[in-house]
Amino acid sequence: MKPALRLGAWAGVLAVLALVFTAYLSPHLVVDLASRVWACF
Amino acid sequence: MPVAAPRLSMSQVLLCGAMIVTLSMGIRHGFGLWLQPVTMDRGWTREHFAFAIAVQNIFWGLAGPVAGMLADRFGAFRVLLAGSALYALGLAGMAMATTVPGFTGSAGVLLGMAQSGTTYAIVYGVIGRNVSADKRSWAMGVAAAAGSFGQFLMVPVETWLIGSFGWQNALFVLACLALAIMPLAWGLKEPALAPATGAAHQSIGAAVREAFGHRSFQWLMAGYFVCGFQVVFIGVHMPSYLKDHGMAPGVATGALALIGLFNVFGTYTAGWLGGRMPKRYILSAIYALRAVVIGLFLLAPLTPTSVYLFAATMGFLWLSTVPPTNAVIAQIFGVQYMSMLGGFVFFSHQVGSFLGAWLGGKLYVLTGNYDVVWGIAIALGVFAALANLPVREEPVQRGLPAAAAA
Repeated sequence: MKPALRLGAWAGVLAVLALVFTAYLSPHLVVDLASRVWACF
Repeated sequence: MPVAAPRLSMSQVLLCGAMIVTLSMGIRHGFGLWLQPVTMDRGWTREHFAFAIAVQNIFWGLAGPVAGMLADRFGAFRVLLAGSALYALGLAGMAMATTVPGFTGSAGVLLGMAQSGTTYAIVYGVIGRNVSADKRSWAMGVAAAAGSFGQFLMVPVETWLIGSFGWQNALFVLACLALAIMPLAWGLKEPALAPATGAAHQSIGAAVREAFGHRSFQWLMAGYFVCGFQVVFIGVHMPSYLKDHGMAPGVATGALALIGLFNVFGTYTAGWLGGRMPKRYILSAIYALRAVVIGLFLLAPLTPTSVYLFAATMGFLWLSTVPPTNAVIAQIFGVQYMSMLGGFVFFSHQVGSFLGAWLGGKLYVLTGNYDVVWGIAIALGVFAALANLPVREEPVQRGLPAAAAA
């Protein structure tokens, strides 16, 4: 794989991961997820 | 399936394999999110729900060697088609079941079997047969990272689906997603070959006897048992541990996110490293680091920062055992029965998983805290670190041509 293509692929992967990570930081999701996780115990 | 020179392109195998594992590992990862709505709607207890999930994990492990054997014998394509159909059926059944046995049958039995037919062992068999030996570990790392990404991705997606469409419709949406494995399986359809004869032929029974009689296979199984124990104990009981110690719920979700994120990097890195250094050292280091990280976590004052650091480092080590373990199996025993042998090793993982979940709860009830189980997790980590060191990565000598054994 060409270096530019490799760099682009890595940038794409990191961008997607960052996007998903920000989903975990949304207040609505944090509250919803936390209440579901906490409900187990 | 007889072994020949690679015949599917690596990019095709990686793309389709990665997407299949993303779906299969991702969908199942958020099942805990259904505990509250299902039990409330149906009037069941959490024990009913937990039992179905436990059955699912046991069936995943038990069906693994069978699914692997079928994939090695008749091709991964057919097993993936069946696995995809079972996955969709199980999810739909989970949504519609109104009795506990019905729910256990769908969420437990059907989904457990579906996972055995759509996850790592099946896809790794195709990777093993179609990616050259020097890139195999890296390719397995890519597929494992995709599975880790699926887990990371699907928790917020499934939370959103339940919140937006209700728990039953969310399951139907997931059933449709599971069916997407079918078209992707075409990318892993290997052309049929004439059966191998003579020295190259090895029966299934001979392959099983050879593997179970091989000391390195036994050590790998022991190591994978520990992996299952540690990961499931932490995954299942960590929120409870944090709650007991007065942590805010948001800390648990933050930890969950960090484990998911760093898991992606860890699995990829382990696969990449596997092509550059002996895999037994990678496995040994992973288990040793887990023991050290758990020990430090328990010794340090418990704060949100220490929880996040623990989650990030454990996340990096989370599924990183998957690529090197499977790559060593291919290296020692060849790729003819890779899915089946991977299934056997995974069964050991699932036994460890079961014990990690069950013993964590049992010892908590007996002692009132998790101290003993944390101690067991550390001791097992040290054991697994040592157990992987004597693994011999040389191919077994059975008179096969070098190309088939590689």
